[in-house]
Amino acid sequence: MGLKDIRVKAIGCLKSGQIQHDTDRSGSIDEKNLLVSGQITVEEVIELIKQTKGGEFETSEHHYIKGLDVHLFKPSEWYIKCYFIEPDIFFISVHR
Amino acid sequence: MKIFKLGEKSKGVCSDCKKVVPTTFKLCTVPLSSGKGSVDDILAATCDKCDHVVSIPQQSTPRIKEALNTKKHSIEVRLPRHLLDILLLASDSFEIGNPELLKDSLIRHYIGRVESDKNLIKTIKKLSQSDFAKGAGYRLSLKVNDAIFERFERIRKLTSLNKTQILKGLILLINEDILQHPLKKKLNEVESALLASA
Repeated sequence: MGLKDIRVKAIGCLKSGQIQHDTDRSGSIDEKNLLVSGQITVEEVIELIKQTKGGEFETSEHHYIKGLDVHLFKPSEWYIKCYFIEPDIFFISVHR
Repeated sequence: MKIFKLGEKSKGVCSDCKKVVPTTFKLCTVPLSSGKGSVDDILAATCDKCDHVVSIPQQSTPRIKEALNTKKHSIEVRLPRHLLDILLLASDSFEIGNPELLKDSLIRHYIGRVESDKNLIKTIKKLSQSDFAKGAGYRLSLKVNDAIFERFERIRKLTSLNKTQILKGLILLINEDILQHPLKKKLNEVESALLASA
């Protein structure tokens, strides 16, 4: 799946509230994730994902879960890293 | 918007088990990654195999935001004894609780009011330089959150007064409003604010 499909899927999850945030390795709240810490809104993340162009998007395999795609949106200096486990989107990072 | 319920099942990536695991939403105390505290009683998805906190649903964000924003700043000044008495007398006049605790809310309310009112800025500048403001020796310590501290700093910039002078001006303004020339409308307004924060 390319940017277009992932964008639709991500925005769908964000709009329906099917959103979870990974904790860090020690099981702590990652304060650098500005969406879980409430420093940026869901609507703002939707806008950032909409703005993302082809060259600002990458997909790679999760570093220890084989077959799990991790998507990276990098619009205008933002860094939004996420993956999907149906029916939810899981954010690893949302920061500048 | 999807709202997860306590006990609801989900899935997630457990960094302890290193695989996708079934999870259950539970109320947990979850530490902050900075090591500066934790957030109590938030809904979090825990691994059904090892109980590791795997993920946090979006609905827990307001509690996390609240915990991060309640970082306290301390404003410490030394004032003449009569100003501390004024503060306690004014707090006591509302009869809505321990005046010692209420006095902090009263000052916080006045910081908010003064910061957004040019005339009050001028008034506290004048009051802080009056004869009645002179003196020192008795400690007043006030804990405030980020939002109030920012307003206090803005008053500092707008008035060019130091912390002690601002507190003196604020307390003398409280003296005017509540003890010397009380107006029912103003008293009701202050009382509502104090009740909301009590």
